[in-house]
Amino acid sequence: MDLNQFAQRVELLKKRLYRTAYLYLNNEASALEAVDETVYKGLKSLRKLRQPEYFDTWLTRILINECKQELRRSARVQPSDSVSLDKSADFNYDTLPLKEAINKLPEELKLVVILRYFAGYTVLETAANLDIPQGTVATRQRRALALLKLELKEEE
Amino acid sequence: MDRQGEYLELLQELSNTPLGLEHTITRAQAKISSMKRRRFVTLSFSSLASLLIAFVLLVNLSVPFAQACGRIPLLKELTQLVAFSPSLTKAIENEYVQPIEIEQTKNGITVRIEYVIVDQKQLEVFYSIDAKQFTALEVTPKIKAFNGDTIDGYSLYSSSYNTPNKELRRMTVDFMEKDMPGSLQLFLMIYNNERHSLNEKPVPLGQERNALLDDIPNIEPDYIAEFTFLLEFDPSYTSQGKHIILDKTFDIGNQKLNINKVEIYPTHLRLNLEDYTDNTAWLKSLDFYLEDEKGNRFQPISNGITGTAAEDTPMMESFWLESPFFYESMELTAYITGATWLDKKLDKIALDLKNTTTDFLPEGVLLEDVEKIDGSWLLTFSAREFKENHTHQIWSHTYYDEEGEEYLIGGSSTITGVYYSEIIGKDTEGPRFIVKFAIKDYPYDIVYLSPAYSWVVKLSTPIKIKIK
Repeated sequence: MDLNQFAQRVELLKKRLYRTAYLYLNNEASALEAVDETVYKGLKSLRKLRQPEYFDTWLTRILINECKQELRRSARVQPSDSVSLDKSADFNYDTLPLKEAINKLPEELKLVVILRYFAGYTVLETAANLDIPQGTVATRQRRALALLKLELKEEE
Repeated sequence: MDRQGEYLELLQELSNTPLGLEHTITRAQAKISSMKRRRFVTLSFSSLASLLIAFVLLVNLSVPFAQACGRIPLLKELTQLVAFSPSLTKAIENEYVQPIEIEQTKNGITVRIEYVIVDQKQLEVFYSIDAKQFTALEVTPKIKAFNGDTIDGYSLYSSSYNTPNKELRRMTVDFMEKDMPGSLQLFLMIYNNERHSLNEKPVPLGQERNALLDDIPNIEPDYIAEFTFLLEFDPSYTSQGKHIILDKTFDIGNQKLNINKVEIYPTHLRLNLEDYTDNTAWLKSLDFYLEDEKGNRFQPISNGITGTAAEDTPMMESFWLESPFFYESMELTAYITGATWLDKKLDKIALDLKNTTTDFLPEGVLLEDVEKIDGSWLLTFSAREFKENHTHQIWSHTYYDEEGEEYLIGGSSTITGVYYSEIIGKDTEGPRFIVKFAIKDYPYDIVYLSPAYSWVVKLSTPIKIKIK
């Protein structure tokens, strides 16, 4: 893949990347920074991409790593808002505004719901992005929607 | 509003992406260019002692210098400034200096650009700063094209730390591939460093541990004046440079290299190499010098960059020497005395932090200690000095976790040999130096480090290659 092809693919993907980062990091400036860093890392290691058909998954994974790293960095200043998976059943997500509620979801559920319902990835793409089975994506999205009290289609 | 309404509203909010998203590719390209500039050069700075000795000898022995002194104003000061560099000294003896003599004053600070020494690839700028109310002014320099456009593919360093007011300072711009433009904009951002220069002390021995583990923010100085100068170069200088195309293959350390081009400029010489795909290692450094038929010897350059790496591999492919440009040499021969190699299969090595073990270390390097401190790791290595009282780089500035995520080493501390026994608690055979650095907030037990080299080859009989 050359620079022009890379630029075209990024152009098509960048809004999805931004939405994912924005909801995950809950901050416009951090999201922009994460997208910038992702595109930089992608461009830098473009030679390592052996199968261009997996470009979107590859770049989205870089973004997710970048977001996680940013969250770890900021957690040193301000602890994470997420509720752990085992305590999530007792937490009243429905009392919070949707954006805040998503932010408080356990890590595993938060990423699935962001990728599926806000970045617009299919179950198959979400599974590839997170490197988990499709069945796990389905289970997690069902649980996340239930906690958020959000009624959306679960299938493709 | 119900949840469905909130969902639609949030989707609407997300559809309005910020303007900053528009130029993400441009920013990534600019960052890569700037990282290349930072990563792919190696620098060499002469010691103060050699500078003084060289200058005393030059002043006492050089007839051309004494003659030229009378012709160019401030030349004595200029020659003193470049006395450590045989190439720049020779350029001045041959009156290869373009006077600029432009001056600007802002906020009580006067900057005067006195001279440049410029050729097809390198620019040396000589300037002075004066101010009544400040005594420790420092500069952050930048260059742009004459029309303000960004320029890529160059390195810039300024080496005038702690220069008193009115005294000449210098900075060097090296272009890697591109040629020197006919003119360019020079930006000098001036800040007062008085507080730092008074308080600046080396970290006491034993306290480097805290310095390495602390997060020291990189604070942008408060600039008190910013200057923009348009430098226009005489084309008779910027066109100077000769190329010799070669095809000379040689073997060293069971690897094969080919010298394909030698570039001779007034300020430096570049010897360019290609490697062979069958090689099992990347060339990291080459020990060599050039000699002409009169016995003049040209050593690795003392003025800034000593080599540059290939864009797509870790190989160092261009090595820079002092220039024979003004010597009118009829013959030039390269004498290769050694090389440093990075094994292609060992560009990353795993280090087990928990058990303080690793499968491989660069030649002469020992893993002395790994200490876990509040989620961070402090690593201590020692390395044999290849040259007495000289340290060398052991690791690159990046490390990786098991998923291949790249991190940057924030800073490292190098402690020279005399303290080895005191710090490590054992004696050493031959001089060694110590390198410490921290891997901060790292939750894993395995880290992957990138060695700067794997092994070193020293030849008892140099390989001779005729350049011309």
